[in-house]
Amino acid sequence: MVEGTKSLSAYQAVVPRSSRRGLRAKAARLWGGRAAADGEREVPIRQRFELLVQTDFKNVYRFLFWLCHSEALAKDLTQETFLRAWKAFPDLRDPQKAKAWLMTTARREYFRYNERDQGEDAGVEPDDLAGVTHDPAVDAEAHGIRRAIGELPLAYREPLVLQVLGGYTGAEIAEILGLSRNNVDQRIYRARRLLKERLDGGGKISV
Amino acid sequence: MKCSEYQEQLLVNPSNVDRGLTEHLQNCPACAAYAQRESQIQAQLRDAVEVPIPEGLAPAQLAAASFRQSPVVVRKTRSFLALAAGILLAAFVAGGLLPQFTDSLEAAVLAELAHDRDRPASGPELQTAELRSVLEPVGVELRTGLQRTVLFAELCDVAKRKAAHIVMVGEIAPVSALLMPGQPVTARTTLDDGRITGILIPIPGGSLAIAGSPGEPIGQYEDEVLSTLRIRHAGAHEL
Repeated sequence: MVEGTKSLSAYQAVVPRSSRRGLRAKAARLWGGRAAADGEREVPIRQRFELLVQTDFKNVYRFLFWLCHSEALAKDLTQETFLRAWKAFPDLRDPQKAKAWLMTTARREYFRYNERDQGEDAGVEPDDLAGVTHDPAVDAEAHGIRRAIGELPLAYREPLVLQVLGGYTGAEIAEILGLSRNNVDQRIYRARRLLKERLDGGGKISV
Repeated sequence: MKCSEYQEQLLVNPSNVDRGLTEHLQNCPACAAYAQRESQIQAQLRDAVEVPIPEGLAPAQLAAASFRQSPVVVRKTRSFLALAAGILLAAFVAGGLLPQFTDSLEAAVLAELAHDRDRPASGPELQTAELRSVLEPVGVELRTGLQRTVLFAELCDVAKRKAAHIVMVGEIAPVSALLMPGQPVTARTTLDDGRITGILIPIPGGSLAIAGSPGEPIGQYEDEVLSTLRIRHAGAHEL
């Protein structure tokens, strides 16, 4: 919600003449959908892309972080994601799917990197999460939860993080991950069960 | 609705406001307490996944770096890549390197199966119509319903191409069938990584892998899968 508020401010900053008919109308104009009907100028493609970056770069970075467990790598992959997204941006017709499309792009960047430089998901080493498990901004319990999320197998971590971080629905997650809806539900269920076991039992996650 | 059903659905989606769930919640103090605890966990999870954004990662810089390159028509790039891939494939086949490709497919199949090794051994059965809808996009046809209980099916990536992954109830543990359109193998191969055993065989339009735990009667599954499923066409399902 906070992110959404920021995006509206950002929109107002780049399109100061916008009328006040609510966020939905603004978003529609932003994507050019109602520009002609309203007789207002269509927002240039660069501004649309800038807004997408502004509203979603944190989620993209965090999603990538939870895939790779490395701040530096997640940062690089975030950049690569937006480079690739900009190349394909003219082909994106449906603004409703922009966020899911961006996550799909981010995920592919991660797997491209993995295939090119590392092979399969190497799993979590004790120090990989040190940056976020010693974050002074959060308490010890949050550190424990971060570590527990990091220890989940990738197959369960991915859908869970998408659900919690971006509020994606099961159908959207299925589309991003290329899985059936049933499979996504099962993975999220199992992820949450493993997390509960870990947090209740205080032990290491084993599957 | 049973408490176990309610709690399971809440775990799948804590934001679920389904009417049945809401009614159960209103009449069940135990589940109300459970839901409250889950709500707290959900809030903690949300805080936990929001890791700090590193310094230097700013939207203006990300956009500016992207703008240094012009947006291109991706279709053209894909056409070029498809052409390059075609030339490479031709070179591989002409050079007699297909067996190496088979090896890598075998490894990719084992990797995909290992990925789901800890799948639950039971669960709700996937209906025939739903199974068909999963298989259809990759050109796999379900001629009749499988006699085995299908736990679920999904499309997955095997050696960079889309494949259909079906998981059935097995006699020892779940058994997987992977139908891989457009991914030929030259001969029947045995799959065995110590924890998974099975077969990889050529079928019209691609290949089929069936695997399960050691001791599983794979031959029986092979007969049934071959009599009920076929690859209608090997479409272009490259990633």
